[in-house]
Amino acid sequence: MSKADLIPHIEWDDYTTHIKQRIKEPQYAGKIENPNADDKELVKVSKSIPGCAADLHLYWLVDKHSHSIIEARYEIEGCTFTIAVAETVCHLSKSKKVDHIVNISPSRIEKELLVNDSDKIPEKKKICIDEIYTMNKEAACIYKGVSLEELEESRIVCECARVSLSTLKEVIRLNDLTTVEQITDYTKAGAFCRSCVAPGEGEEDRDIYLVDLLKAYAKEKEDKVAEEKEKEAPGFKEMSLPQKIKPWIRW
Amino acid sequence: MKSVYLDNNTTTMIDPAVLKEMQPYMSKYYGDALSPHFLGKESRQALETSMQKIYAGIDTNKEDDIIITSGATESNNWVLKSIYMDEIITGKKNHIIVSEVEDPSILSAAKWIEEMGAKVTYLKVDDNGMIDAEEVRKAMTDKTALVSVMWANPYSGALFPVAEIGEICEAFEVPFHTDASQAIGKTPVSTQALHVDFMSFTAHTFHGPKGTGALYIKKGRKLTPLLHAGKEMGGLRGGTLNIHGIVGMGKAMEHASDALDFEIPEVRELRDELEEALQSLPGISIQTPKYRLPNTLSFKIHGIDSEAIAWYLNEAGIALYVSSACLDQDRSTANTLSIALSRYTTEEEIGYTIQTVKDTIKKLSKVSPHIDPKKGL
Repeated sequence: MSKADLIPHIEWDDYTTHIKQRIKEPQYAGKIENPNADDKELVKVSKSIPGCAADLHLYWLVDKHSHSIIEARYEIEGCTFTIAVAETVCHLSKSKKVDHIVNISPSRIEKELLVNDSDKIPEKKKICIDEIYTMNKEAACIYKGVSLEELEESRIVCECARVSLSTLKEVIRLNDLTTVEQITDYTKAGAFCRSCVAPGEGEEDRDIYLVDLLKAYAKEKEDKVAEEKEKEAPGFKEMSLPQKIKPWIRW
Repeated sequence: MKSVYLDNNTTTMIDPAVLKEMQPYMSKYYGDALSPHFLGKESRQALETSMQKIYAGIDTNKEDDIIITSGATESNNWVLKSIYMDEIITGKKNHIIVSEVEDPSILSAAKWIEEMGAKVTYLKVDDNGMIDAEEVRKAMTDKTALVSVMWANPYSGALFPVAEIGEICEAFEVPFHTDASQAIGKTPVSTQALHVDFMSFTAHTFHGPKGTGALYIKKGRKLTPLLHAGKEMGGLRGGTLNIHGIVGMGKAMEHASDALDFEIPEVRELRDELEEALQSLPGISIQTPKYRLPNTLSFKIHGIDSEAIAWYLNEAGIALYVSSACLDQDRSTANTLSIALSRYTTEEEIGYTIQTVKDTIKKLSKVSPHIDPKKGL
């Protein structure tokens, strides 16, 4: 325990003016009726947020020619914070292309809700952001007819050079890349604003950085080596007597 | 911003007359009641006068004890832990009975007793928040050490059958404790009219100061001393007496019991006016226990989260009690709103509340998937 644990904390006190504004003046509440038009498609995702008692419906009206979200709306039986998040997600999604949705990340949503650098989203509330972010992605999956995994792979990591996550993973693996400079040479990712290189390198925060992809690939290689070694090692039954008793011998 | 306080079962505004009565005992007559000098005498006299008012307020025989504590939480903990030490740990008994809707100070202490190896029966409440006294009889065993059931529930306003429970306890020769924090000032309270062995209360629920409460102990009932120190409170709870708090509680008790007859009908009338106006709201469900505190109204709106309603009302300057998973409150009610009036609640405040609740529901019905905003209101 510490001093902070001795003072009662109510999450309403953490609400920024942005959060309050979105709750007070909801712009995107309500359902979207089926348009009955060949050039438009209605997408609906429903979910109950665990531990939150929130019952949430997300609606998109998508232009089938441009694949743009003409209208985004929601309905909620939930707390004020989920209202603020749903409002934000609809605001960020409206007029965007469906392919762009995967880039409306939790950190992007948080950024919309906060005002000052010192503002923070309460830890307990982050689940609301994650759940509504996932619902938004599920809406994209329904429209595109792909799985969440496939959608994730299409996410743009370097916005300046428009390089997707799947391209970067493939280039790193095929060419056994180990540095950011090598990635830039092959794909141009990281060559411009550098926000996607590593935290603090550029002006903007990102959810995925090139250094993370390199780390993940290095770990993947390590795991593969360990797995192969394990396969090569004989089972206990196949071991010679000295091999079997070696771990217990103290020289 | 307008300020309408409708959370009076959580705590109340101190009565200005009570505050005035307390002030000299913080700045002028601050002597220790045990000191022989003239300032000590002033405190002793104030203690004597205030204790008379407290005894009179709950109609207590002078042979019984009223031990001043810091509030109902302390009194409740004292009873349960003392029963554990005197009756359970010694092996004489191994079981207590409490209701499932007690204050956290009872439920947490009961849980602790359970963890220490004793059995605890949690009495259920029905859909209207009531307890059946017969359930107490059914739960009794020859190893039952204590029954603890609150006089009234702060959220539903349910008045529990404490007289019947007291009789059952008397028949089984099991001590009966009740937390009367919500009863004083809202319903007549007499420790002589019903069988009760221990009774907790706190001044801040009847316009007295926070930090001062008491435990009534019937003559012949023994508890292990709570604070070993000097001779204060007969040695059961030592430590320099909080004279200004006791003076405040005495004055608040005097007002609470003297004004009961004419204040309660007025408060009930305002509560009923509010209840009648809210009944027209779509999806509303009002909890109406058979016997209810005159100041309390508990409700929920199907399809709208109570936290959202409470947030909008708070922004409009209306404070009420809300139970919600999101606010992480350790309470036994789920997703409900509870309004509790006081003698300071005005007709104009109730009118403002009715209009604000209606406006709020209208706004939130546009957000809800379960309410058609075109219907109702």
